[in-house]
Amino acid sequence: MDLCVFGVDDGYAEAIIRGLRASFLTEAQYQQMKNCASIPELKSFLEETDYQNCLQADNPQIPTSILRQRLKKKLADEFEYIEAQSTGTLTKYLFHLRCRFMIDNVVNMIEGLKNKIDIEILLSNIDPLGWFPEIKNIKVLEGDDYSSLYRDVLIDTPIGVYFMKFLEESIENLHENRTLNDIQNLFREMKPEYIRTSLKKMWLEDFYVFCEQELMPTSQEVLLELLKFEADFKTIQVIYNSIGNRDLNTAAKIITTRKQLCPTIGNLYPDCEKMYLQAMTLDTLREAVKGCDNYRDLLKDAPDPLKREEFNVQTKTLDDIMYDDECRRYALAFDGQGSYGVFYSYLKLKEQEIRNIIWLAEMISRKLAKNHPGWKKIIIPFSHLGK
Amino acid sequence: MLRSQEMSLFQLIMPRESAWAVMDQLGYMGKVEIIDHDPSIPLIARPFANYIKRCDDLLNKLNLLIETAQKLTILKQFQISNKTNNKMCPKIHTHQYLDTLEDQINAKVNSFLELNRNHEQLLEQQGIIIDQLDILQECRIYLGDDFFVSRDSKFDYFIGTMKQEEIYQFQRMIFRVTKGNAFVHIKLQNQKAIYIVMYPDQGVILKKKLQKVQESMSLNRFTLPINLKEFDKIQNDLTVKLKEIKQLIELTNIQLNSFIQELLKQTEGIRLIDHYNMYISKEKQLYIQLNKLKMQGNLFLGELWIPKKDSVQLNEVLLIVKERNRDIPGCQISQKVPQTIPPTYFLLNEFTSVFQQIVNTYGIARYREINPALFTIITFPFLFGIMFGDIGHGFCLLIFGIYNIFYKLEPFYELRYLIVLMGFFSFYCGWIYNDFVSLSLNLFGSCYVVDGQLTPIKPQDCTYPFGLDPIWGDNLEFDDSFKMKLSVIIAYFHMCLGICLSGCNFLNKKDTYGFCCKFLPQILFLTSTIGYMDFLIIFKWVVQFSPQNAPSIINTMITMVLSFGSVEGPPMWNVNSQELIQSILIIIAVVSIPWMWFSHIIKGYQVYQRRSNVKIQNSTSSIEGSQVIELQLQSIQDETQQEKSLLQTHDHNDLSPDEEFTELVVHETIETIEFVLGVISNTASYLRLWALSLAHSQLADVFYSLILSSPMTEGSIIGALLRYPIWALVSFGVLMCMDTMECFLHSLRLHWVEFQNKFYKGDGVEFHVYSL
Repeated sequence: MDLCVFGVDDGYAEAIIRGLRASFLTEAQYQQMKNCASIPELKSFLEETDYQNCLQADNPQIPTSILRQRLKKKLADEFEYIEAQSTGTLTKYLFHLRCRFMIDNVVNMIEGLKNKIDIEILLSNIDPLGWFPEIKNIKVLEGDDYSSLYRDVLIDTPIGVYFMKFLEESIENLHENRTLNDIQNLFREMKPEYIRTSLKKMWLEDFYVFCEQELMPTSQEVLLELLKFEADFKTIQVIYNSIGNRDLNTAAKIITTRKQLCPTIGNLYPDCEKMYLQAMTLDTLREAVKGCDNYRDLLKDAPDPLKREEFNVQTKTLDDIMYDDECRRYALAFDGQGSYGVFYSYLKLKEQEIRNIIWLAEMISRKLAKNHPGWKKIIIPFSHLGK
Repeated sequence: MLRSQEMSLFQLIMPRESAWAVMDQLGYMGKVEIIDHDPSIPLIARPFANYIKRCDDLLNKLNLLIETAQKLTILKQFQISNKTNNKMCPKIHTHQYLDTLEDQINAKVNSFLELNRNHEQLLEQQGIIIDQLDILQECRIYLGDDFFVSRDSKFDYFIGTMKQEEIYQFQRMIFRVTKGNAFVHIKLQNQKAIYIVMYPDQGVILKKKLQKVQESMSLNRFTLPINLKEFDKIQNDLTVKLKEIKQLIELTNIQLNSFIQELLKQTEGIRLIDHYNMYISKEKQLYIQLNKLKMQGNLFLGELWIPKKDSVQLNEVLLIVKERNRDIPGCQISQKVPQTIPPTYFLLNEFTSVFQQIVNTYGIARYREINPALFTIITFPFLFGIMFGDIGHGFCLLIFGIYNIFYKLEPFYELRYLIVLMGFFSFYCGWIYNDFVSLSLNLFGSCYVVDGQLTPIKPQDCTYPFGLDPIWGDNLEFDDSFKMKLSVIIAYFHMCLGICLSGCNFLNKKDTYGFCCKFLPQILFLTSTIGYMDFLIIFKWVVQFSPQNAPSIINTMITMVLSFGSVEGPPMWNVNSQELIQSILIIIAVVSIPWMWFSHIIKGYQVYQRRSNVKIQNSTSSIEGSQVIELQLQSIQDETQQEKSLLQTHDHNDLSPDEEFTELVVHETIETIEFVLGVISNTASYLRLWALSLAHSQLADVFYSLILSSPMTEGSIIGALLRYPIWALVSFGVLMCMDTMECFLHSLRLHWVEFQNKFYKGDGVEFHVYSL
């Protein structure tokens, strides 16, 4: 039923996205990019693709960071345009998508300020997709006083809710008779990466609920599936990365941390929760997720996290494997009709494309030999569909 | 115009040094098309990619310059003039000129941008000073003079400006940071907001934090003077500074202006900036063409198409190059036998181009095939006229077209000749139908006498001189029968023309077999069916029948087909001779179907047999001397090459003979079925002429009778005056706009489908002339 009325409000936005499908680089174009000998050559190649306009003003020897910024800016502009064309639920939905980038930006800012990086540099490096006016006020942050950061700045922002929840949870986890000092210690020891993962987890759960409650059945069907996978992906990542992690020395601590960071949605939760929380080696993790889908196959090729030191560029890491599978799912979702999945997939696939370009740019600028295995380490959106 | 220009292929070999000069001259000649030797090569991989890039960069820079100038409102409504004629184009025949130009432009643009940057900086400074003055004033007003006299040290102050849209955010932040212990005063001024924050001096931490908030949100920050004396001093300083800066701004403005004036200076009739722009655009075009050439070491190899009659000129042009540049080696040119089909090139003018456009939209003519555009010039507006026929509306359209010829009216300017012809033919057809906005004109006096009787009497030897007698004006039945028959007659002649053109195409290709086995049966089939019907229609018009003896054409045609030529009911003329003629026609029609169906299949089968024989021979005798077989093969291949065109297997060269033959059978069968059915259905399709013309006249009638006729018959002038604009608007909207579009589209369809499918292949390649 909702397919009949989908076009009424969201048809135009969807049509634009479908049109933008043509801007994805093709496999042949990737091949040509790989053949570029230098950054200026890569740039002039990109100027013949859809990225033409966003690069024209720069000089040929463009640093990778600026290149990334430009590509992201283009994506953000497109996204903003679509946002401006949307109404009702779609606007809310698109805004939720943005939140993910905002979290990244906030955490990056916090991390940067902690490392005493100049605010101007930090501001110029933020992801344009997750820009919001209050972001420059993060400067107010003093030391590790996250609660005052929340009170002064983030309370107004869209992601304030997540931040508040995060603060509450972290304080609650302390023992009963906590002192102010304890709280300060807690925050001092907290790594920005930890904040990021928890915030993202909350965002994901929140987004899941939003999709479940407000979207039409077709969109729900597509999106919940994607989000479940993403949640599982996060869970596996958290477990995988905590295996053999030196900062977490006791088993109890590992389990509590894991419990805090693993999303409470997805195919693995709650059925396999007990098992994966206990998993201390890759094999037990594999065993824990075997009940679901094709996760076991995915983990089959993953390198052992205990031998982390032996990893090099050639290793196909867990992330690579996951991205690959993710890309396939998003491409499928993109080709589905009449659902909000296209917007989500478009963002994800474009992100992947930007990652690819940046990766290639890095490879080119380092002048690596053409038979270096790193050249193969790109995942081309929509390449899975042809097979 | 009837056939595309004959093209010849030339090969151009030139050393690197002279490549530029040669291409330059060829571009000015504007008669050739350079063939891209390998279109799959991306631009970056081509030899002159960096030159094109340079040109692009320069053009961008010029645009940037103009844009900034426009932003500064120095330039208003400036447009880079387009190249209107060749004379305006810079005649500089050295490619080093690009380098000098590049330097010039770079220098100019850079100094201009530098000036502009200065200008902007000055403006910014001016803004800051003005802000400061404003804020000082505001402080004085708001805090009062007393404040500066005796200052209370318990409070601290921040003053500054910020963006208006951030006011609430700012207030909130201040509130939160100080936990409500601060007072914020805000005043809006000049798209900015001035703020004065007053807060209790409570220690360093708070101050630091507030400072950070201030830093991150305000545009400018100032310090508050301590006492009145200082206040006055600062204010005076600032006013002096402001004056200085204003002078400086004035100065840079003048500089910028003179700079632009320099660019607009005319030398030899063109502005400097146009000169730059044209030369660089030209250069870019030239390098794009140069990129199409193949580079082998120091030599450029290129192939080009040129109309045969212009090929003499090509040599002359190359001679000019040699004369001009004696110090560089010349180039060589040699004619080649084309391997691919040459491009289609028509010499067009303002009048014919629109009609060619109508045809090209369907498909570009195959090389040397008959161009339907020539016939379209008349048939298209004529068919339109039949549908749109109305004296009044046609006249309006005609006037509109003529107006367009003299005064340019943009969207229709290109179509002006088409509109004139369309208007003329609808005007003409309007007279034939005697239809003036749904009324019949009685200009020459009707021949019928209405004498209070039911049927008017017509005196014997009276004919209405032109068009229909006005007595038929409201008689829908008569109109129907007349227009229907007319459209069938036109259908026959239009399709006949199409088939005849296919005959001409066969003759032009010297394909007598095709002429005999395609054209002849087709035209015979059409004539013996639809042609005969048209004959009957005209016969019945000419001969007078008494109502009870009048034969029905429909019945005649049906019984003719069903019972082999026999006549039922009253005959047209003598029963016997009519039956004889009809049965002969039936025989012709029936015979022509297998004739056009199998003739090519039989021929194709022979070729197929011969080829498979060759194959068998080939495989058996392959052990013997292969030279003999090769020779044999060669001769047979030559033969088959010729027959291939007959086979109409366009590009199935990679198919095996077996497949090729089946393909041929299927193709011929489909074509025959299509033709035979098409004769009936296409004729029926021409009935749209009748339907649309009917719709037009009926719509006009409805509007007239509903809106205008009642006040006119009642004689109320006011009513008529009031209703007239409504009628005019509706007529304009529905009849002049919508119906024109509709008739245009149907006329287009009749040409594309019914007319052109008889002969037009439309699979040619357009000739893209290279011209600077």
